[in-house]
Amino acid sequence: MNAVARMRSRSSSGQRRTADESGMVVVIALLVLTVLSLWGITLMGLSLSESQIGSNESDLKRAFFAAEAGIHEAMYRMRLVPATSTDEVDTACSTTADPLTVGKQGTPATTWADPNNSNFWYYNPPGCGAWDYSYEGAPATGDGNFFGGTNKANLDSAGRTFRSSGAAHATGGPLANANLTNGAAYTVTVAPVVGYVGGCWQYVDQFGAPLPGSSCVSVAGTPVYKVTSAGQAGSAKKTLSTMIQRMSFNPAPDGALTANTNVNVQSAAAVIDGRNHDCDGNNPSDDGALQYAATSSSGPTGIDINKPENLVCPGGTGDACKGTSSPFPDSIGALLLGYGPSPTPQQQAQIDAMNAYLESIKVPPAQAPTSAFKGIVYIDGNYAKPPDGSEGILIVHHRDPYGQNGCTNPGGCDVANLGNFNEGTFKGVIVADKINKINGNAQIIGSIFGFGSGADGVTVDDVTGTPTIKFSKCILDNLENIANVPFRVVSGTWHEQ
Amino acid sequence: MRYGAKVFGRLRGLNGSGMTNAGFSLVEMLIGSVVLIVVLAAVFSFLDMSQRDYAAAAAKSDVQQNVRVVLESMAREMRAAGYNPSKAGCLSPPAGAVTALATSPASVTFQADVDNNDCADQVVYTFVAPTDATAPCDPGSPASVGKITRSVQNWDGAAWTPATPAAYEIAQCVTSLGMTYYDGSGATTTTPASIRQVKLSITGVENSRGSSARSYNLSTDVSLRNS
Repeated sequence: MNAVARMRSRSSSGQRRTADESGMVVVIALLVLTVLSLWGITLMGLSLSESQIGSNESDLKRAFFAAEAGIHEAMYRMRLVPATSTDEVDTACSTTADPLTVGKQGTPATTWADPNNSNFWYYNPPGCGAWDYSYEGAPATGDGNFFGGTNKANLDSAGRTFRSSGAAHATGGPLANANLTNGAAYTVTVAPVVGYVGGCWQYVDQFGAPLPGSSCVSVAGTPVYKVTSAGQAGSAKKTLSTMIQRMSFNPAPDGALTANTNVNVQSAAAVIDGRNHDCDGNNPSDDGALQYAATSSSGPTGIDINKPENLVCPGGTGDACKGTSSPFPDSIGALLLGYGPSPTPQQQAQIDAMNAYLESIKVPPAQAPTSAFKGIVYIDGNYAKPPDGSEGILIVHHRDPYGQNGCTNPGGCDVANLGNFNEGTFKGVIVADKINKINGNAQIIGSIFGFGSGADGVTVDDVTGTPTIKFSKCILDNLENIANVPFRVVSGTWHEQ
Repeated sequence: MRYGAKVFGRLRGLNGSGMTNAGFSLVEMLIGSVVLIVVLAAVFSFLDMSQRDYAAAAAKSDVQQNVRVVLESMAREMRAAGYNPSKAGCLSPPAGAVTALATSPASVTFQADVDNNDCADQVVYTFVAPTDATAPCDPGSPASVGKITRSVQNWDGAAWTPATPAAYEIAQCVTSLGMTYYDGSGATTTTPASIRQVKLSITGVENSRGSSARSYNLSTDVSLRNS
C-alpha cells in the first residue's frame, strides 16, 4: 500500500474523524501556549530590567565605598613614618615609582615611603603626558586647583604631582583592601591646595585664603591637600574628593613637669630639669625655652619638694623653678595641639578631629605595649611604665562620667594612673591623669603632663634611684617625626563629583 | 466517539457531501456549550490571573523604584550637607550643614552645592501628608496623595532667595518620611548643629491600586561627611 492509498483508506474510516478532533486540541494548546509565553516574556522583561537596576545600584554602591576607601588609604599612607629620600632631584618621568614626597612649597620637606610596597606612589614632573600638572598663565586671584581654574597644584617645587599606582594595587598592597576582594578598585590622586594670591602661588585653605604663615617667599603651617579618589566597580564609577590637612602636635608645657594638680616630690635624688636639653637629654641650655621646671595649677605652693636644689631651670634652682600651670584644656586632643580651654571654632574642628583620631587608637590596659614602641600609644586605664627605649606620645587616660565609680565631679573624673614607673628611658611627651609614681632610675626626656585635676596628683618618689625628668624642645619639635601624624578631613570639602 | 462521528458527519453534510442534513440536537448544543464555557472560563481565569499578577508586579516594582530613587537622592545630597566650595565670586552663606528641622510636617533644611555651581545652596525636603489619609493613593484625587517635595534656594549675600522657593514633588504616594538624627556619640538629637548621622526611612504605597495597595519601606543611614 503506498502512502496515498493509506491516507485514503484512513480518511474513509473513524481514524480520520479522530484526527480532526486532535486538530482542535492543538489549536487550543497553541493558543494557551502563546498566551503563556507572552505573559512569561513580559514578566521576564520586567524582572530583567529590575535585576539590571539592582545590579547597577550595587555597582554604584561598591564604587562609592571603594572611592572612600581610597581617600582613607591615602590618609593612612601619608602618615606613615617619614623616610629620607634623594628623589627630589630626579625630574625624569617616572615609569616605576617613588615614595610620595609631600613638601612645602619651595622647600620640599618630607618623604613618606611605604614600607610595605615601594611601588605605590608615582610622581610626574611637568611634561609627562596626561599626568602633567602645571601653572598656566596669570590666574585670577583666588584661582587654584580647588577653584575650577585651569591651574593645577604641584606637590613640590620640582612641579611634580603624584598619584597612586594602579599596578601596585592590582598586585596587592599591604592593606587588605588594596586589592578589593569584591572586584572594585580605586585610583587616588593627591595635590596640595594652592591659590594665586598676592601675585604668587601659595598654599591656601578651602576658601582660597592663604594659610597662616604662608607668604610668597615661604610657606609655613601645614598644607591642605586635595585628595581625589575614583572608585570603579563593574561599569559604575564614583569620584569623591575631599581636602585633608596634616595635623601637627604642638603641646605647650609650662615646665618639664606640668600638672593640673599638686606635685609631691619625696625623693631626695629626684631631678626635674626645665632647661632645654638636646634630643638625647644632654647639653642643657639656659635658652629660656621654658621658665619653670615644674608647675601646678594651684601655683608654687602646690609643689612640695624635699630637696629644692634638684628643681633646675634657666632661672636657677629651687623655688624660682616652681610655677603656675596655664589653664588646662578639657581634652587630650586640645592639649596635644597646644590649644587652651577656649579654642576658636577652627581650632575646635581640629581638636574634634584629633580626639576622634585618638579615640580610634585607644587600647585597653590589657593590650598596652610590652616592648619598646615608637609612635602614639593611648591606654584607656592604668599603665605601669613604657618599656625602656620607647619614643613618641604616651597617653594614660580614662574618664569616668559623673556618678560612675563614685565620681562626684560634674565634668567627669580622670582616673587612669601611670606608675610605678621605676626604670627605663622614655623620649617624648607623656600625658597621664594621675602619676603615682615616678621612681627608681626612670628617665623622661621631653615633657610630662599630669592631666587629671583630682587630689591624688603627681608623685615622684624614691629612696634609692634618681628619677629624672628633662625638658627637651628638640624632642617636642620632632614629635611629628617620632609619632605618625594623622590627617584630618577638612570640614566642608567632601563631595561627590 | 459517536457524537464526534455524528457532528463531523453533519459537517461533511453541510459541505455538500450529501450524507445528512440533520441539525444539532438540544443535548448536543448544551453539551457543546458547557464544554466551551468550561474551556473559556479556564482560559479567562488564567488570563485574568496573569493580568492581575502583571499589574501587581508592575505596581510593586514601581513603588520600590520610586522609594529607592528618592531615598538615594536625599541620601546623596544630605551626605554632602555642609559642603561649601566657595568658589571665588560666591556669596558665601553662614557656615552650616543641617540648619533646620521640623517634625510636623517632617522637613529638613541643609546646605550643600546641589546645582554644581561651586556655591553653597540651601535645600529643603518636606513631607506633605495626604489630606485624606484613609483613601488609597490615587493621583486622580489629590487629597489621597502623600508626597515629598524639594526646593532649592541660593544665597544673595544677605538672605536665602527666593524667600518662598518653588517646591516641586519628587515622589508621590508616600505615606511616611522618617528622619531620625544622631550626634557624634550616636545619641539622638534635635539640635541641627550637632547632627552627624541621619536615619532616613521612606514608606511608599502602590499607586492607584485601591484597597489592595501594598506599602513598601526602605531606610538608610547617612553619615554627614562634612559635619
